[in-house]
Amino acid sequence: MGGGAVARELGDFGEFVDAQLPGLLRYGYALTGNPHDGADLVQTVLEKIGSRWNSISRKTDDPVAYVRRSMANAHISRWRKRRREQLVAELPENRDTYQHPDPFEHEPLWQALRELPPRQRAVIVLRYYEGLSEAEIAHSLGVSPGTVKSQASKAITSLRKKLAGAAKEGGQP
Amino acid sequence: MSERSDHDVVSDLRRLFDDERLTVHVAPGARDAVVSGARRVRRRREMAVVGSGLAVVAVAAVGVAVMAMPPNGDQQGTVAASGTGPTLSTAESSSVAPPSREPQVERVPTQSDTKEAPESEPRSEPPPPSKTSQDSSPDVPNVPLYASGPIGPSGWGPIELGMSYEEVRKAGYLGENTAPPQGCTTYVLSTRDDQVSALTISESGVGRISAGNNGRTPEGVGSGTSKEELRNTYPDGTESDGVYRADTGAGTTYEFAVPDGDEVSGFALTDGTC
Repeated sequence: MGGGAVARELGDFGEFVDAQLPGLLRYGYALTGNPHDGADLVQTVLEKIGSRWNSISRKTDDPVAYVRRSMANAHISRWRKRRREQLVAELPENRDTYQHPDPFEHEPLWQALRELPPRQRAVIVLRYYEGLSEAEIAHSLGVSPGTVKSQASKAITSLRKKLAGAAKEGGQP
Repeated sequence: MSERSDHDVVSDLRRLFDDERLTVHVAPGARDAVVSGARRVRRRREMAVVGSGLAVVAVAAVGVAVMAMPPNGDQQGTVAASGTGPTLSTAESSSVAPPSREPQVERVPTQSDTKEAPESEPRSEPPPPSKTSQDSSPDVPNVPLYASGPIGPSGWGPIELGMSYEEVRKAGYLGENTAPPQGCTTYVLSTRDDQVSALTISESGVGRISAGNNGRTPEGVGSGTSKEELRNTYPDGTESDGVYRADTGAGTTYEFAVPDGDEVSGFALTDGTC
């Protein structure tokens, strides 16, 4: 396989990227709670997967699901302080929150989600955004189904409590 | 109405995840940026394989199973320069355009590309200068090369983050009865090394290198290091849930377990995929 084959493989991967980026960016946003971190995660994971595109697309029936699982794992296992230059998503240049407030600023549920530990948040996103079963989540994250169940239940309880707390604080300032 | 049931929370969650405000617009040039990045990652891995291939050949030639790996300055320097450099320097370009030094992806590599990495070689096999010893027995693991040295930003001795399961297996680090990874799968090293205890590998390669009792970072941090020393060594780290995370500066992260808050009980190097 020479340079031409590599170029073909990357061309094929490029088409996948074109088709899937909108959905993946949205998912990244849900997963991380922040569009910048989400796009960063999408880019990092896609680059790794693209570097082995032929073998991955041969091994998996559903490369999109594979990418999404990889993103969930990557999100759980890393806390990066440094963000990359944003190349894949069109986001406001200026991250000044006064000029570009969080669109979910007044969404107590979103704010509560943000405060969940990353694994709990990933379980919630895989369950209710991706619609995966507990068994599928367990497989994706490499943990036992019992762990998924307990993480999901902890997460829902904590979301419920936070929402109750937010409501008690008064009908929003 | 303030008290919500779990059921309410779940339907609220579903509604939230359907919200159109979660839409993120794709930047122009996004595809090229990702594809260029994929090629960089691949090139970096190929460079790493060249390094480990040479090392394995050397062991076979001498007929010695145990060999102390020197820090291996030359090869690691090359890998870092060609792989991590461009990744980090994306910060230079200030717009959405892909980095100009990585031009057309669909083309055969340009001159500067071919100079940097031998992409014309088959990628599944390491391209060592003397092919015979590698090619004759593609499925039989090599004699493991016992590495010695710190777990650096890109890996440990011949094991680099991103190396495929097959590459690691052929190098003899995994037991004979292991199966390829499904998702992130953790393998205990068959070499029973006390510097590295386990590797976590997914379909996209080695994602995590877990240190053993005597594993150390190049800065000398490992099990038993006090938390104060840890913080002094990696002042930019962050801590949550008993884990202190520090970027290596090469796109990878050290995760130090500090369960009781006073000293490091173990650590791992990860590239974020596992």
